[in-house]
Amino acid sequence: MLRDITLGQYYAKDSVIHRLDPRVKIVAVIVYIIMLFLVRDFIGYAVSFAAAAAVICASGVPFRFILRGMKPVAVILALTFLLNLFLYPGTVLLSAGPFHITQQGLHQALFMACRLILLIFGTAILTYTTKPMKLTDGMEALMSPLSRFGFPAHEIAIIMSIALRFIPMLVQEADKIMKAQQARGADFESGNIIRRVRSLMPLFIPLFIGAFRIAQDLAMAMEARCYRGGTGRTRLHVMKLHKRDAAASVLLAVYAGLILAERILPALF
Amino acid sequence: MPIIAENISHVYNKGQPDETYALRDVSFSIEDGEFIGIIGHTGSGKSTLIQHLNGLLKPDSGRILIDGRDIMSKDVSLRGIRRKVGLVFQYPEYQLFEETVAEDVAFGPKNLGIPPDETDQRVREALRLTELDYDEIADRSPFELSGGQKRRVAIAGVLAMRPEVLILDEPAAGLDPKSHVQILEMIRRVREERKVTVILVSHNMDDVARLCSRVFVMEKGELILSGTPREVFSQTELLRKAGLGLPAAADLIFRMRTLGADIDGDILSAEEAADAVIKWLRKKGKRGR
Repeated sequence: MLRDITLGQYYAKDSVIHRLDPRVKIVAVIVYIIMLFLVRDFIGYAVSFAAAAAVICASGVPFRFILRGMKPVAVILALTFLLNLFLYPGTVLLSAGPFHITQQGLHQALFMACRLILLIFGTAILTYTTKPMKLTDGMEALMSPLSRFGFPAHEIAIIMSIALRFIPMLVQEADKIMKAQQARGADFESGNIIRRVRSLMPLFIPLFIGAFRIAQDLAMAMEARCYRGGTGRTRLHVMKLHKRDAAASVLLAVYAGLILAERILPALF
Repeated sequence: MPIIAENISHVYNKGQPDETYALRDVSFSIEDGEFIGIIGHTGSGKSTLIQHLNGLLKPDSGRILIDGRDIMSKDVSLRGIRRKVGLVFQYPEYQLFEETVAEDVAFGPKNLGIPPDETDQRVREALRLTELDYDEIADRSPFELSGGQKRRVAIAGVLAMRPEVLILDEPAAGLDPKSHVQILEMIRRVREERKVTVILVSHNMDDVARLCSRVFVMEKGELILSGTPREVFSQTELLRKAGLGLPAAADLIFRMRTLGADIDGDILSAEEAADAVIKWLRKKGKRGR
């Protein structure tokens, strides 16, 4: 049952989006997110949606995969929508008993839902088209100027990549331990909440012990190969900017320009 | 309590591009009191197969009958099946979690709803069967024991459920040669004393040849060969194709034959090999004179 968990949801393909430099992609997603928070009306969202849709098409990741990324946040999405819908003050459109839907509430609910959905699109595209290792490489490169001020950029990047590497391992380990305890008659599925939490102890204790064991082995193996942190360390894959990265940056600037113009221009006239 | 597998198949990642058959159309039947050895290359489906036998995995097609009843049917309790079919995973010491050895061994019986005094009795029995000293070890933390002792405690945890079938996935993996021999010897004794059916997954051909009454050979999810150790280990070519070796003595004789020594008979144990070589030398000596 744990086999179904997919983290680090990379979708293997060889598209132009996949080949983009991870640094460019990270910056693009950050800019995109900032723009989403600057948007004031649905026109801005339409532009953002068009941009996101164009990137999804170019990436070749099937749309249903992007939608699948919505599942975990579906509850938050529904909750935000409903709370906004029913609790926002304003002109009443519909009311049934203690519940009122206001015009402003409906607007606000749709507005927030659009923002959330578009946010998820952006991050989903990033993780679908970028291998976790490249992502951490990109983050390290982007953070490295800060290391001049004592910010541990390399260390944070290595922590992230090791954590990513550990997730599938721990999932596998958990699956094994769960089965072993089930073979001894353990029951993880029934009973009230207290019983269920208690029934997880036979899973979590061996899992934690296992995690420490693996961590220690890994630390030892790294030290045996003379790992000593980031200073003076060179890369196997040197990140280089290509023409496509320049093109992507231009497109990003166009998008940001559109959003900003849409936001600022009305105020000028 | 016979176990029958009828055409079971198990598919991982069904419907996706990386769909793989972990088991394909596997059928067999195991009678009471048999000592079955399952051999096969890493990834041949051994572990997947044994997890089907106590309902931890469901076959995608086919049936598993225990005591004549399909274990996946609604009126069969999986917990009941798991009580009857005890499964010891590979490196079982990694599943220890309780504060004391006695509590850990009691985990299984407790889950089965066995009353405390009987549980205590079963814990003592299981520790005795695994050759651990109850008085010395029962109140210690399982995490301060040696590797071999931890392994025994974990096996005791399954034995305390008094299974009628005991399945062990490489019970001696990663142990030193002395503990290796001791663990297998212990399993042999448990089988004699408790009259259980034993299914042993192993990479060690010598262990399988020495202990088992019947051997299953798995390759790429299929059961390609089954029979007595003598029958199975005479299929040198087939075993080589499945990436498997021979017991040391059989291997020696096989190599001598390929070098031209004319030794006949299916050789399994060192004693048989020694006799055969002596016979061959005598024959050769006579011819020489």
